[in-house]
Amino acid sequence: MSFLDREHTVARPGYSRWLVPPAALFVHLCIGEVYAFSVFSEPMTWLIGIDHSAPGDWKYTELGWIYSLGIVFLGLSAALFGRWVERVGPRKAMFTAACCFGGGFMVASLGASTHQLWLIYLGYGVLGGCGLGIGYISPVSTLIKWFPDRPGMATGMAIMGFGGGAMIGSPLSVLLMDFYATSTDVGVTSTFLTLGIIYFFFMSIGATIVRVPAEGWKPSGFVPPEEPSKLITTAHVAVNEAMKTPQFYFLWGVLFLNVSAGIGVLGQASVMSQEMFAGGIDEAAAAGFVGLLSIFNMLGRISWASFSDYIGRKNTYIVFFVLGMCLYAIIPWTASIDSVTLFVLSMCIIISMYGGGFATIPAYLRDIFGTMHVGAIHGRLLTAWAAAGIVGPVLVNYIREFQINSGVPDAEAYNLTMYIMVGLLAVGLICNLMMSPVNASHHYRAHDDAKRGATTKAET
Amino acid sequence: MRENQQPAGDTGHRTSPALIAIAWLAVMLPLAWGFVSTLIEASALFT
Repeated sequence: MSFLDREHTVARPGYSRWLVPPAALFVHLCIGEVYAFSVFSEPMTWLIGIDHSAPGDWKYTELGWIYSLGIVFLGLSAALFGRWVERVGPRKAMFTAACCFGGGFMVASLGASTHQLWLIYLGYGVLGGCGLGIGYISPVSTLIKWFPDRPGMATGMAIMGFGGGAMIGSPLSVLLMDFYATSTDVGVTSTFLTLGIIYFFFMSIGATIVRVPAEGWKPSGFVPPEEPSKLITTAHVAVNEAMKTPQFYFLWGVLFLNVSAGIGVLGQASVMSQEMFAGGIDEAAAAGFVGLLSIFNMLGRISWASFSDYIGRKNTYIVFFVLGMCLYAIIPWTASIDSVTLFVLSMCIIISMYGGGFATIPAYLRDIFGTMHVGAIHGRLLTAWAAAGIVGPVLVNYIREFQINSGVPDAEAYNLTMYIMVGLLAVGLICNLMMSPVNASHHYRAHDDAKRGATTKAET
Repeated sequence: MRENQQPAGDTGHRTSPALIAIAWLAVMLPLAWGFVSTLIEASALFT
């Protein structure tokens, strides 16, 4: 299928780079559905009983593995297929992601209709997870190359789509399940199948319209600064070489700590708000609070990443860590003075910085390692997300339980967690402050490859 | 909006502004729908 090859995606003169962000959004808005997967949890425990959970129906604990597998395979596939994505180009990668993500829903649909949980693990978890990972990284390096003047804004737009995907996926799934539900069917099977078709179609549109810029292309009127900032390299670092630099691990720490702090409270936001403000926030208000957080999560991605183009990536993360530390530190105080407004405001800013951390990291990688393998390096760095996805919620849940078992009132059970978050962010701040330009010995030189090729030939 | 630079003598095919508008609308309309749905849900916090 030569249409998918990189050489067929090189933009001809006259192609507008403003078609690339919507192409990326077609993919990210679809794969962002993963954040909304919880809407299926309850109906999937009723597949046999229809309006109640009957013997033989799946349990929440069994279903929880579907989402976890999806996120684990997101991290694994982003790390493993990063170099392949760079080599084959965005179109083949996006189309592969469409096949995996759309196909994953279809396999899961078969699993739901035959009541075979392993098929759902395989479909949504493994296959869909690979679609998530490949889809997440596929447009990043292309956007950075099209927008050398505004890399933060460009990648922020795509990654905003991942945050926004849940906002579409959640009401769309509910709408479809209501539409397909009958007295003998909860509607999950047909909803999975329909979503698989819809997501495959829209992701394929993204793959069709995406283009890579021709070699040496620059936006008209763009003049690279003669003396770029010390932390913005004009050199390139290959992905395997990047892994040998301390900068990669500092950035891994920056992402891991920023995400750990946010992801834990995001997962517990509903329960946490109700326990900290018993009487002030009821169940419906807590659901509204979670919705508000998802809006700030999405808006934070585009706004903070765009802002980083002006103040620099290192300074943006300094803001995330310092402001985050202050806000986490005042959360227990907002509960003690019973100020729901201050609590909600603080949490919204915290979650905007959580999203902003995801969206700003590709541009940070480009500044430090250059554009050559930025997608592959980004893929490897996303293992920090997978690790934070385990550590963050564990920290919040287990410390809360420990506090309650120790006799601490429910309203104060999160105080210690908040102070631990301040500590995590302080470590993140140190990692960020340690960032410096990569040593020139790690820079890519084309003649090294030629020499390596000649040596291999001589040896054989 | 800046366009892809054209080498001298190469006329190329300029991307139609209508195509760009359609592509943006196709992604922004569902996003706006999701945004408004979430905003309505979030309004429960203030009532």
